[in-house]
Amino acid sequence: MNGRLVVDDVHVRFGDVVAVDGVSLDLAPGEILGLVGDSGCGKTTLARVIVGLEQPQAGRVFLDGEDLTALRGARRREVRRRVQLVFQDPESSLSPRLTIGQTLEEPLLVAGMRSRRERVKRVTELLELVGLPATLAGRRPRALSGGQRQRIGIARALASKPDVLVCDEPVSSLDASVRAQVMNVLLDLRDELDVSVLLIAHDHDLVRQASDRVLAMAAGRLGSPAQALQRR
Amino acid sequence: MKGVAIVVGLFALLALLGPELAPYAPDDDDLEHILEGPSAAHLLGTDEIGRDQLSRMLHAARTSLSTVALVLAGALSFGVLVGSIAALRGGIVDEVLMRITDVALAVPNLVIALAILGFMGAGTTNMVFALMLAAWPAYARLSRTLIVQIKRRPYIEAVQLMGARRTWILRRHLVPAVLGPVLVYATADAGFIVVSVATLSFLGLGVQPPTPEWGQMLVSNLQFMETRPELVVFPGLALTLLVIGFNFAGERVALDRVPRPLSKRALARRRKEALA
Repeated sequence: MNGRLVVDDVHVRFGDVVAVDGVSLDLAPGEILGLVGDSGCGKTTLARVIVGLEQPQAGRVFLDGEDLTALRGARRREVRRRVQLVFQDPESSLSPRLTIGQTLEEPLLVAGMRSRRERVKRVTELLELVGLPATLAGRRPRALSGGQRQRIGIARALASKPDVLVCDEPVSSLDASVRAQVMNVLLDLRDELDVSVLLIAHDHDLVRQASDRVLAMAAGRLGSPAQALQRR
Repeated sequence: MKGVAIVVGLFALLALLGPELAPYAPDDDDLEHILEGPSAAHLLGTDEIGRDQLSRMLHAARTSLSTVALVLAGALSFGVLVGSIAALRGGIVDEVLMRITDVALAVPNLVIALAILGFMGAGTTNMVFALMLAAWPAYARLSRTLIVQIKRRPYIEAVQLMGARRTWILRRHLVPAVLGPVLVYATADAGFIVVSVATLSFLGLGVQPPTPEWGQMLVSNLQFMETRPELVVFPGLALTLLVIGFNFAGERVALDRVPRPLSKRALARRRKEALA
């Protein structure tokens, strides 16, 4: 396996519960890989392992050949930045205390962008990228709709210039009418930025429409989508 | 927040300007005019060795307020620091720090302060230190609980993913989120600390006699309550106002955190914005 992102035989247990039971997959540059599965099958845990929020008991995650699970300290922070997560719930994934502009500015500050003017310019670019007007920068999350918030979540992930974007149920908490909008934003981004996307969802139709390739997950293991569909 | 700013600002102003406004020095005695009632020369009268009561009250403002401010600032920063470390480190560190906090919380603050003063000796500095040591556990407990609640929120995890250090997250997200509730608690605590300073000074363990302090003035003038009640009433009034002021301010902050229906004007503005 030699994709941009390679997941190699990852196992995660929480006490007696096996959440991820030996999952391997790889993601090519610019590819959208769909991952479907019912609730509780370990999709979210796998996403969290890939972005580094969860440490696997066994197995490794490689980005361009570098083992992410073995990294520590400053190097870890630097490399981890290139794998970003779009959260499931747009409500809790934005700080209620910060304005949209401040939220989008934060990754730039962390990455060491000193010039205020440059940051403001980049925030405007990011908003444009996800199809939102620059005037939103002064608002707080609660003044935004769910779809707008989710697009801010995507813009924040993009601010770190990731190579891989992991989207964990990016539209499941949104209205049907807004889903298409947000999905289109994701698809356009892949074309514009050459970012690889791991699209995780329980909605088979949505994932199949958007993805280049689809994998299915059940009870912590990967299978073919056909098997997963038969089970339903 | 505005309410607290006003109350704290007014008291700070009093502490700053009080001694400047005083017509006499606080220890300027005049044995020919002892225990006199209010007059043009002495607006609030004089005490048993002829010191001007108004001047002493104004000087005491600085002592009383600065001791309370120091105790609160120290207890708050140390408490929030301990709470943050416990919440972020977790595991055995959390366990040890919180058990220490529990023990300290189980003993009344004044008892802790008395024990520390018994060990360190009397004096204003020691009293401030002792009260800090007695008051910090509540802040540690409160901030730990709040940080544990929010540190797993997705928006904090998103900041982790940006490659931010723990200190960055603490400074930009966790401490600001904790500060609101902690300040509410501090305003309530301020009243208690004012009374503790007065009590300890009365016991001779805190602010030492020639230096005026409201609580200590009230207590030492108690013997003249029947002949010159104003000697007791005014320091008492000052203390009462201080305690009530902080409590109202705290309530204000607490209420500001409760969602309220929008005013008609705000509602109209929202509508206009939404349609624009």
